[in-house]
Amino acid sequence: MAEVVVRPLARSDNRASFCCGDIELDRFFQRYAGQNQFRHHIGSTYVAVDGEPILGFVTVSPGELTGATVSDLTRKRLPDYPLPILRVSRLAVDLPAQRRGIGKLLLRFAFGLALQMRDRFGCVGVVVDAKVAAIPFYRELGFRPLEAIQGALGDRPEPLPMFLAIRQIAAALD
Amino acid sequence: MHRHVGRFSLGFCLGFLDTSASAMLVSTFYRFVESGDAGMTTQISAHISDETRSQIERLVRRRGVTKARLIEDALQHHLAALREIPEDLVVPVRLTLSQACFEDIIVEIESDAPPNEALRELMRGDG
Repeated sequence: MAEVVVRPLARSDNRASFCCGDIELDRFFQRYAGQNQFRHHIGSTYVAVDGEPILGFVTVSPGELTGATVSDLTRKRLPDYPLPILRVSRLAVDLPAQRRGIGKLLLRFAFGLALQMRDRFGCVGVVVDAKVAAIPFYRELGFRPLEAIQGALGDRPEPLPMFLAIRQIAAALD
Repeated sequence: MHRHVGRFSLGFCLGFLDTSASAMLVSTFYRFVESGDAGMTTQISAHISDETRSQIERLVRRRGVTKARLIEDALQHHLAALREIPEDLVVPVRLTLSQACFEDIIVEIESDAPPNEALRELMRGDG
């Protein structure tokens, strides 16, 4: 079996047969990931492949965290602008490729992007929009749930935004 | 066509507008009537953050536009973007957290706590 690699989504990629078992994620990947990537440029999708079929994908975009209100004490400790993050809004693995570590490979790739972002533009952490079934997986890695007042995804069922600090990710490489 | 309209029947204003700004809005209203846009007849009042208010006021001073025009344009741009881009594509750039949650995050990003074993395994490519 060929080595699995992660690369940017290409226009020529066949997305029509992708099926991860979640209708919303399949619909996003089949219908909108291309527009997202090539037309609107509002996020980037990377795919895991070991040949022709796409095994999985992850969609990321830069974002920022801010507080609805901030105490004076916190305000003094922070610069007067929001905290930059990398947002992993969608991650899915094709049904036949599940339980092969593809999801972890894609997440590790996204962490690598976050580390690059930290070095080039600034990034304090990664936010994933976790589907209900994936919450325990992310929690086990150290992600903590966020109490979002505004800015959650409009998907149904509503995913839970969860945060992991970039320091933790960098330290895990040591 | 020009119609005389009293200043208090303005289409759009915010609660914090002062008298001089309101006076400016009258001319804005005339412009909308002239252009055939009869939609400027609804008044709204909204609570916004001090930061947004101060950004609006700075922009108004710098660009010389009225607050009503600025807000009308901003809303129209936002609605146009929503029409253009399917909701499935929209990933809001800003995630606004509750105060307690945001302050917890501040503590976390400054923390030197070591990563757990599951994260180390993932980064090693194990499992």
